[in-house]
Amino acid sequence: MPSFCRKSVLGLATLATATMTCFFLFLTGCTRKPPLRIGIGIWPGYEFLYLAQEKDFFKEEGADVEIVELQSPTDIRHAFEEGHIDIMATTVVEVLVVRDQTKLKPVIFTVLDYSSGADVVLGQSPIRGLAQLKGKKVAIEAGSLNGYLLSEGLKQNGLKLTDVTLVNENQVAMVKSFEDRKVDAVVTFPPFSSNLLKSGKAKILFSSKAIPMKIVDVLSIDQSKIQSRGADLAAVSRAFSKAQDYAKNHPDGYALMAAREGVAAREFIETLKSDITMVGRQNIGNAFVPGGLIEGVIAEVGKTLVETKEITKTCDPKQVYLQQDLSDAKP
Amino acid sequence: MPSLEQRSKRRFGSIQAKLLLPIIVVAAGLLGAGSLGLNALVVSMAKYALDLRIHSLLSTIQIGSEIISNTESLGRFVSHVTAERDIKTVLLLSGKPQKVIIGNKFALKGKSIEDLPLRVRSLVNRSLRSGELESFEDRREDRYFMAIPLRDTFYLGGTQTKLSGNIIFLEVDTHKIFVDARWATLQGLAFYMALIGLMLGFLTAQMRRLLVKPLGKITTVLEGKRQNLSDSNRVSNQVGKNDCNELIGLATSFDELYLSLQQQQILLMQMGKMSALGEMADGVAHEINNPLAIIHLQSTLLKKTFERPPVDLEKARRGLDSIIVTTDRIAKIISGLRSFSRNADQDSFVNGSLNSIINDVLGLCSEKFKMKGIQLKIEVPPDLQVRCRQVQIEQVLLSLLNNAFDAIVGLEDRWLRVEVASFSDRIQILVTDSGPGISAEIAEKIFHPFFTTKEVGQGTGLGLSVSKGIIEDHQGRLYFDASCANTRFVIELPRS
Repeated sequence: MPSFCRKSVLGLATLATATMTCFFLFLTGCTRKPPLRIGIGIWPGYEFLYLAQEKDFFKEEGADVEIVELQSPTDIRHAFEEGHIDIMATTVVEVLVVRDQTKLKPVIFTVLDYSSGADVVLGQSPIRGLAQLKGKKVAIEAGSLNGYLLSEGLKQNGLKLTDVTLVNENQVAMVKSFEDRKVDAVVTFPPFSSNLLKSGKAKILFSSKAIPMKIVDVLSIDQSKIQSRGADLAAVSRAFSKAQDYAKNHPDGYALMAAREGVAAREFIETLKSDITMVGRQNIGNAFVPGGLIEGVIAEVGKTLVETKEITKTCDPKQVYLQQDLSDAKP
Repeated sequence: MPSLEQRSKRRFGSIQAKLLLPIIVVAAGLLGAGSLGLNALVVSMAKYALDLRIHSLLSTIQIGSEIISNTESLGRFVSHVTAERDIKTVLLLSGKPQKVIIGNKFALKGKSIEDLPLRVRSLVNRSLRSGELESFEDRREDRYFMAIPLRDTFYLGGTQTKLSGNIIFLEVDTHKIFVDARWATLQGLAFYMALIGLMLGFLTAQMRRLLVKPLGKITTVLEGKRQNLSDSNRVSNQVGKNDCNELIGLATSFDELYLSLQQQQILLMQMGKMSALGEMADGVAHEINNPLAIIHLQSTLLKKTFERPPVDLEKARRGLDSIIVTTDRIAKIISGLRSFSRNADQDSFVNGSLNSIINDVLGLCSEKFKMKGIQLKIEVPPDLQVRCRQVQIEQVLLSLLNNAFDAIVGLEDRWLRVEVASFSDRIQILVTDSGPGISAEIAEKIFHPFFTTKEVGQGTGLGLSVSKGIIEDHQGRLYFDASCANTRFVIELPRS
């Protein structure tokens, strides 16, 4: 029957289309945006990101985030450069190094904390001050904030980086070198610094307390991903603030963070209170205004890094931090 | 009722659908089987790639454990090389009882195996017992777990590595890997479907061009043969050699047959007409003879009048008038004969008076009926119009009247009635004679060409078949009315 045949063909075609549509929708449903991977090292300020993950604050804020635990700023930088992580939790120094040495263009989208004494230059006994480091071996992690801190310290004591012998080691290795007295000084931070200080063999020669608001820990993401992950970035910022609020009211929060650092909760809180200034939600906006704190830090740190030849040239600070308000960004 | 063209188009679709249906079913089957096969292939490739990646990672850790003696540095190495996407957890366990000494989860460092989740514990223990790689896959959570013992290794200096004899635990997120595989399958399927779609489209187009269209055309032409044969645009009804294909022979034969049929039919119609004329010859002769006799008589009388003066001019004038009227009548008969005998199949359809058509026919044959004492009863409304080829309708009527004459001429009761019935959509011309009707057996065959009940030499057997063709060309019907007590044929024509 002609009509039957025509109907059958039409029916089959409709069925095939419907099946393919269902299959397509099924696959679309199966697909999710890849999680946003944040590389963090061992630093008290970053632990709030770990706490946000453990307490599901990222999920609550609508972001699929995965924390990748790495050990040193250099490891974070390398993971970022190799594409293993989307966001790096570092200081401004690492951001500028990546921009200078690779094709990637990390952009700072939030501020986590300021180092107000946690980053230190530790010297072997009997060295008492930076001025005594002339001609001595100093271990730094090249390409990290270490060089910047040491340079600023030396500058305040009338010396230059060239006046000391730099030994490039990561944080784990330099602690061992210091213990074995292979180096005269190290540039480090908690918990590595805390362990050395506890041993009584180390003395603080210089700390970030002397250069307030200069060593700033930030989160940065490559420029190419800002548009597609805008809403996630806003959620990360919110979750970070939420973790800070949680820790203030729940002691288990500090315990969780201290456990990951491998230190006692009391020690962890002590470091946070005395040597690190966490940036509250209300202060982030002020830091990002044109000509504000972030822009100033970027310009100043960039200038120093060029002087110390860690980067080849300075860049426009306005291109390094996000000037766009992401709070209304849609997922 | 759908038009001929519509019916043909429907048949087009039907043939096409019937031919395409199995192709579509096979294509759908291939698509289904192909999608399953493709998915299996892509998933197995994804698994292979995953295995390769994991083994490469494990080898890297193994090598790292051999060349890095410092546990902290090895930890940094492991967390760095395992920072890539999809690697969720990497733990190196050592000691008795087993403790986490290195891993990418700093919070787990130093934890005893007893503090780890059950599935980690059981997999590690299984691997320790077997000394081999052990794994399991959690499809619900898209996770793949592995445990493998580190091989015993020695430094070149001869010091045994601290990690010798211990075990690595690895957790991998397989979600993205397999979703990527599914997307790859979908892309493959989309390509496959597009290919099948193109092939089906090509097949449909080819089938339509090479098979369906010619077949449909043949069907159209065959169904509308009689109508189209008389159309002025005959050539368009040929199928034509549109391309080289298997249907060429069929198309050529069909066209030859078609042309031959056209010629045969024209010939048959002409023969039928001539046959009818031949049968009317006696009647026509009388039609002309009688006026001729009148002219002869009037002329003789006029001659005598002029030979015996004084001439009665009034009487002479009346005689001359009679001659003129009679001559006109003969001229009319001759004109009717000439009109009737010419080929009318190229005439266009025009509105004509039915009364006039019937009278013209009676003009040719009424004398014949009178001679045999057959009573003619004509009941035709004066103003009825019909759209037709007038000569062809006259031919049909003449044929029916001739048949009636032959059938009743030997009967005692001899009469013939021509009536017209008018309806909203059609007109019926009923030709009834005093005959007793036709047996069902004969009635079945009377419209067949060359079928005749007359004696040899008396009839060609073409009259009714040709007449039927003519009426059908007029979108009408010619049929024998078996319900009538006498013999009745009905010509049914659409109303103009």
